[in-house]
Amino acid sequence: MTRLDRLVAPIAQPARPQADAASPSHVAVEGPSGSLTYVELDATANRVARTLRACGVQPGDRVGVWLPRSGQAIAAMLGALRAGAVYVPLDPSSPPSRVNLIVRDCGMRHLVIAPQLFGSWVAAEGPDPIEHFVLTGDAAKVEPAPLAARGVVHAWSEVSGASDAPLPPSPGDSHSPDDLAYILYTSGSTGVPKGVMLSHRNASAFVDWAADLIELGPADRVASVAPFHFDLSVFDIWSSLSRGATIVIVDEATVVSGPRMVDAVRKRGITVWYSVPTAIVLMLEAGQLGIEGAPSLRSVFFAGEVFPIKHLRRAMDALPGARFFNLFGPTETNVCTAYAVPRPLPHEVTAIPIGRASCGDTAIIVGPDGAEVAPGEVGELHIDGPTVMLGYWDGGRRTPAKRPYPTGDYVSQRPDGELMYHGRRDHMVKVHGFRVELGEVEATLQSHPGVREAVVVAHAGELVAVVVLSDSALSVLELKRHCARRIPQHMVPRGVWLTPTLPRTSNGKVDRVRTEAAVRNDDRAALESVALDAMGGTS
Amino acid sequence: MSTQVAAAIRTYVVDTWLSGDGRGLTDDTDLQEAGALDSLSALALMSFLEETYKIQLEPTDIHAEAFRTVNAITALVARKTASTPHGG
Repeated sequence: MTRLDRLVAPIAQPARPQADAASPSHVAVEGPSGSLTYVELDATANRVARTLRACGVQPGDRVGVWLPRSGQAIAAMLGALRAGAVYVPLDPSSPPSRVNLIVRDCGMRHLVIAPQLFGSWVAAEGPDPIEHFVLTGDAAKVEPAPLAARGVVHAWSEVSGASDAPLPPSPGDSHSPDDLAYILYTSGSTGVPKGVMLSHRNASAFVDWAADLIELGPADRVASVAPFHFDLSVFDIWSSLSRGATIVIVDEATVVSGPRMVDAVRKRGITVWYSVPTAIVLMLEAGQLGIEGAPSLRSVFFAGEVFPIKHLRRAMDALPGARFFNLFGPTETNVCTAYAVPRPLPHEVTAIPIGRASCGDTAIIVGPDGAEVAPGEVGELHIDGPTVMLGYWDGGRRTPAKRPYPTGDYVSQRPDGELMYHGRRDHMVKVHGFRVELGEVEATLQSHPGVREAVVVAHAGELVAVVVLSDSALSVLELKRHCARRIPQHMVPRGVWLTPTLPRTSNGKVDRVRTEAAVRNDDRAALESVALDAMGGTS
Repeated sequence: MSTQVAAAIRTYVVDTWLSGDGRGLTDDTDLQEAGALDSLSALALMSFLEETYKIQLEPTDIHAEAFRTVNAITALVARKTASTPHGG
């Protein structure tokens, strides 16, 4: 079991016995603004590690990486690990207030930050515990002046000037595969993001398994589509680096457009693709995927949401040379089950399985009584094995993971052993592959003084908020602005319905079922008529 | 022409992003800061502009500033209609 920071070979030597030797000029990261060879990535990571250590980073410290996807961001993560630290990837599209919640939750004192984000960070209100900022650019170009930051600001020129020799081991660094490697923050039901702690061993179990599955090698060009704070990127970055493949960054402006994604896959010779099904569907809608194809593409992984079967069939028809894999697992267990989609996919298939336990994990299906269910029955998926997280960071309390870990997902096992998915136990939904706790969005809406009640419903892959106002002057625009300042863009409800009252259950609680039905049927009047029935006392 | 375009874009924004509630929206409202414009909305807006005004948007046209306000979107349409040959 190797630590992630050892995956990149110092000088053109294969880091792993199974990897072929790559030439020093072999590109590790092909970014939108320049590329990094393996030798350059290795040297840059060492420089980052030395800069961080010189700023007082101790083994186990949390180092934030708030950067757009780029070679610099990957070098920053690798450098943080080489300094014995833990990296925390932060969403470049998140408002500073939410990033600040994460910074404070994990006791972060060091932040690698893009110049364009630094201005918004400094301008934001609230406590700023960051003691050292490492800017991936020139401090002089930053507005407002870096002097406004309470911490010390280090320009990238300082990193570039540091030695590229490997950092000598620190006495406090155990260099164990069971050390914490990174923390991924996901949506939490209480309104505070939850930090999922993953060790080098957790990551490696998946990274190696996935690379072996598709025999990833130096000739491969792996698309980086998923944001770095999203666990899909663990494959893109670490599996690629472990086998000497090239990471091809597909930038934000491209991943919103089907035609541009198809163009990128073709022109940049991408061989491996891993994304949520939505991105693949966008490419299909562009039409060109079917007409001109993408012959370089040989492996397609998808995860994060159910791939509607009709679209999956179209995607497989459009890419006859590619193998398709359905990967499954919450952030807490990385990928824990997998299914290789058969080709041809039989006509009678209406839903594909999530497959069998992968990465050395074991799967158990547990009923309400806590015992394993009878064969074929639906129960909650519990996972044990090397991919199960260390636990939740939880403001430094480090709550250990339950083992086996209850995933909150309902599944059943077919006679052939494959697991079928039957939905979630709680109010967690997926919006374009991102995990969203409806409670967090509701709490954000309710934090506005003009909001009396709010219920958020997921419908057709979008969030719709049904809101009762206490201040009737409050507009949808103002509510959205309130949300956008506090939660990431994908969590801001697409639709906002203002209603005088919400339907109630007999015990006076908000009737979520009837609210959801009204949204599903696009019937605002149903909300009010239900309320009138209740007030009329017809029951 | 441009006032008609601005009105059409305002209607589109109110209908698709603000659930029909136009209160508070001006042609200078920052739509991104207001959380009204995410990546998929941007994609839908692009299709709307291309179909309504028979223009072809290039990747270089698509950036945060171009979609920031109703005024900015109106200016983009004006620029593209001026540079697109008729009958295309």
